[in-house]
Formats: sequence, structure tokens, C-alpha cells
Amino acid sequence: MPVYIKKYHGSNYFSEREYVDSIELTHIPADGLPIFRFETEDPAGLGTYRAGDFDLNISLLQKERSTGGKDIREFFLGEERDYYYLVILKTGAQSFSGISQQSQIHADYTYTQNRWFVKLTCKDILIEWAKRCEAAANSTINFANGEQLTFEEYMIRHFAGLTSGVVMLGLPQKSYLSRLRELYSNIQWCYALGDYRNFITGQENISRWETFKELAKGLGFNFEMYLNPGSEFTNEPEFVFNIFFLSDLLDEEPLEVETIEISESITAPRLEWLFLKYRSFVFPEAEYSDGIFFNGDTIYQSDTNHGDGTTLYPTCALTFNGKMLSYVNGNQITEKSLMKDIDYRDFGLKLYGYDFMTGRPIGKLFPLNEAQGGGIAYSRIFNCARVHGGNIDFYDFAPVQETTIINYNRFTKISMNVFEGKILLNADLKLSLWKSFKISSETYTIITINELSLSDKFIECKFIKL
Amino acid sequence: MNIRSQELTELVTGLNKLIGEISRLPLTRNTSQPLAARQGENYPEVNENIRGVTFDIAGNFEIMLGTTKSMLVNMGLMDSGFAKTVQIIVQLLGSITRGSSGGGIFSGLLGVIGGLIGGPLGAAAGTGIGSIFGNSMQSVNTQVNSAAHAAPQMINQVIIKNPVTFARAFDVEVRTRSLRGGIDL
Repeated sequence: MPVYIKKYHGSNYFSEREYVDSIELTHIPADGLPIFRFETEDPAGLGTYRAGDFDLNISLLQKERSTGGKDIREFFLGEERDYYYLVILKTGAQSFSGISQQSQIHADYTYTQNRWFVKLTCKDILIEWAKRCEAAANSTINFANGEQLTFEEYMIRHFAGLTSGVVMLGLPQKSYLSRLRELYSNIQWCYALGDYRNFITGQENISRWETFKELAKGLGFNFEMYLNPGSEFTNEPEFVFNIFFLSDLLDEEPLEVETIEISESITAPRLEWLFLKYRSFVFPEAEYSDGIFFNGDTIYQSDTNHGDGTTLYPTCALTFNGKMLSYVNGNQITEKSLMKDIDYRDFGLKLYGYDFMTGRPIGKLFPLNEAQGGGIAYSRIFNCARVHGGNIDFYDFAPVQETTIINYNRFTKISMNVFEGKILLNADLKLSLWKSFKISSETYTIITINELSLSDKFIECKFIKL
Repeated sequence: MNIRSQELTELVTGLNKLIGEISRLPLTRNTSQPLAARQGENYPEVNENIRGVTFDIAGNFEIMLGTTKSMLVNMGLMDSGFAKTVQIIVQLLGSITRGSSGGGIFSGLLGVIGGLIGGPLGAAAGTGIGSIFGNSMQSVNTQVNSAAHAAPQMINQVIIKNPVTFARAFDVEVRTRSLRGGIDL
């Protein structure tokens, strides 16, 4: 199991790095990874995004030397301590990468009692990337009024200026528009609109990472970060920040694996319904929402108003201090009522403040004049144009909402549980997070890796059925 | 492989405890005064007492050897394995008695230990133990104490970790691991 460790001066790999030295270890001790945990999400938490970390033990008796001629102790624990380390573990065809700051290095110089080692605590490279993006305000995204960007164009724009030459943005093969058209073939276009983005207030105090996560939640995609294979041999390895939709994993060729153990895992209780709220208008009698609530086979979806600035229905209405959710149809008849935390869970999209005083025409996004408050999800900057009965609707958000449901149906009550298991590790297996594999003709994907055992050659993980 | 002074001390302490048990045998009374029953009390036969304690000793050894073996397994040192473990104990006991000749009533342990361990290993263990207890109990205790504070006499053997420390380390590891669940992005 080769381990590539690069040493840098600086603060963050994606913003400030000055290459100092590197070392390649051909092997690590049998207990070299006492903690190894990579996660993608909380199985019970909607819209949670997680990363992981691992501890790497290296014996000070190992003979490897760095390219600068340092032995292991000098490489990590020389007199000067202003460094951080990029650690890349490669096992078979897969890799795991993390960053270890100098303060996260622990050494035991007790020569007796089988000690004499260096331990590095390495945080997932995704955390390093998230920190980089957290340090940039959303207002620094150059997105002018009047501009229209496709999903793919917007994503590139969102991270422009942050990649530092070592991050490549991976986008789904299937375009976002064609994904929407699989649901509604009459969609003319789908754009992020500069006007919509710029109505959100306080963007100088909102980070680009936060808005990216809100986009992921609101549009229903996922993301991952991994080493660009082959770049581990360079002084500045490259990473792919990949954006994907869970449904696309079914199009991949699943891995054939050998399971040692498999069991079903306990998760937090799931409720029957989920509620995604994209916009909110607060009135004295109720909070009206542009949103959607659904279970495994039924969808209630609002349209809020028809662009005339006065019609509120159909809508999702919240009363009883925000606990009672009702679907009020176009004839102002309440069709369905649910109670929060008993019947449904609120998905928790963050609703930002907005200001429409610019006077630009913005159709359905215009709040009713008498509204006393409310907010807008960041993903609402996207909008579709769709033809209905010969007339084009320029302010249609329904296809976006329904695409999102595909990703989150797994959090409703009837969805399949989470599984736990041990999978045999072989040299050619590319078994990492979000990789799909097949057991008895069913396809699963890995959401958590709890353990990587090099001595017993297995990965212990959690996975869900696709 | 090295045996550490702390680990040796642990082992010797265990043996001291064991020998302490032995010192409470009715046997000691053989050398001073005969066993006399008070009126109205039924004392067991001396031989029965000895037999019972002998089985206790054998049980203690079994536990000790089993613990040592499991520690070695945990430490991934089974390449030197159980034979080394027994060898250490035998050598340690041999060093305590400084080569005293075998015999005496505790040579009865020979068969017990031999039965527990089986084969030549058991015979080796039994021989060592039989040799130790051939001397008087006071002499043994004194020498064990001095051995506990002396520099380790055996080197290049297996490493025996303190089982308490090992268990604690494991607990800490488990706690740390559960606390270090996924990190929110």
C-alpha cells in the first residue's frame, strides 16, 4: 500500500502552498490505520454533508527517505514546524487523501514497548476544499443582472477563482436540462438568472461554500472529491471535485464484490412525508410557501401565484405557529393537512432575505405587497420556461422541485434501510465512497467507510440500495 | 525481542500473589506443629487440603497462562507464541529458585500443569514449578521479592504488556473512535 506524503509551507492546500519535500512509503505497519472513517452524509439527516478523517501510524524504524534526503523523523519533526502535509493512501485502484497540520502530528520516542512511531491525524481533503470555499464571500461570484447561465455554466462560475490550478470540476455527463426534460419534455430552457441571484441580500456575509451546499440541497445533487489519478507523483497533486446525481449511479457498471458480513442498520425514525420549502411569504393568517411535500408515491406541489401578483393558490400553507402544513389547491380548498415532526419533516432549506426594490420584472418571484416577511432558497436562482397549452410560462420551478425529489425519496418512511457490511478488499477493487456495487442482482452504493483493514484485507462500510 | 522490566515486575507480582496463596497452605503447619482439631470441629485431612489448594494453584496458572497467551495474540506476536510464554515462566521461576533441585510436595503440580498445557511444554512448566517449591516457603518469598526489584534477567524474549493498561488503551480507542464520527461540512 503506497503512501505519498507531500510537505508544504502555507495555510490551505487550495489557496497557499509552497512545496518543501515529499516522501513515499511503500508500506505501513499492520496497525497503520487505527482510525479510518469517511462519510458522505448522516443516514438519518436530510441534506447533511459529511467528510471524514484517518490516523496514520508510521514507524520511525522505517528506512524510507524523502526526496530531500530526510529520514522519517526529520521529515515530520525537524526543528522548524511550520508545515502541513498532504497524505495520499493508495490501495488497489482507489485512493484516500487527507491533510495533516503540524499540530496534528504526534510522536512517541519511547524506544521500548513497541513504540517509536509518528502518528498523523489527517482530515479529508474535502474539508480542506470546503475551508477554501468558506473563505470566499458569495458576493465575489461574478454574476451580473441580465446574465443567464445553464446549470453547468453556473457551477463553473461558482468556483471560479478558487481552484488554485489543482481542482478540476467534474460535472454529470447528462446535462441538467436533459435531466429536467425526462420529467417534462416541454421545457424550453432552464437557467440561473443573475437578477434572481442578486436579489438576495447580505451576500458579502454568506460564503460560497454555504450557497453551494444550499444549491446541492435544493437541486438534489451530491458531490465528492478525489485524487486525479497519476498526479500523486507530482509535487502538487490535482483533485477532482465531482458533482453528480444519485440516480446517475445506476448508469455506472456496478462493481462485483465479495461480502464477508452484511446486516441491516438501525437509523433514526423516518416520517412519511418530507417538505421542501423554496420560498416563503408571511401573512398574518398563514405562511404561504412555494414548495413541495411528498412521500413515496404522492406529491403536493405549489405554484404560489400566477405572475399576476395576487393569486396565491395552489400553495403550501403553514399555520399553527408553523407546525400545521396544508395543501390548498387552486380553488382554495384544503386537500391535505399534516403535522410537523409527526407526519412530515421539514427539509431545512435556508431561506435568505431578498430585496426587490430594483423594479426589474421578475414574474413569480415578486412578493405580494402585503407580505410581512419571508425568504428565498438559494437554489431558486434557477428557473425554467415551459410551454403549457400553447402558452409559455417563463417562471416555472416545478420541474426543478420534482428532480430534487428523486434524490430525497430515500429519506421517507417506506424507503430502504441502511446496510452495514464487510467487503473483501482486493488489489484491483476500486471501492470508495459513492461507488456502486452489486449483491444478488441488487445495486448498492457506499455512503460511509468505517474501517479499512490492511492486515485482514476488508473494508467495513455502510451502504444504501439504489 | 526484549522483555521489559515493568512487564517482568507484573509477572513476578502475579507469581508472588500465587506463592502467597501457597504460603497459606496447611503445609506450613507440618514444620511447626501437628494439625490438631478443636473439640467439636471437624478438620479435613491434610492431604485433602493440599489437593484443593493444588487445584487452586493450577487454576491460577491456567488463568495466567491464558491471559498471557491472549495478550500475545493481541500484540501480534504469536510467531514466538505460547511456547515462549511458557519458557519465560519456567525461566523466571528457575531464576527465582536459583537452580534448586526439584521434588517436595509441590512436585505434585507437575501432573496438573502438564495436563493443562499438554506435551513437553507442560512437562517443562511442571519441572520448573516443582523445582521452585522444593525449598521452604520463606526462602522462596524472599527470593521472589528480590527478583522483582532486580534487573530483568531475561532479554530477547516475548513482550508481555500489562493487561490493565492494554484494556484501558482499548477503551480509549473505542471512545475516541465513536467521538470522531463524520465531520460536518
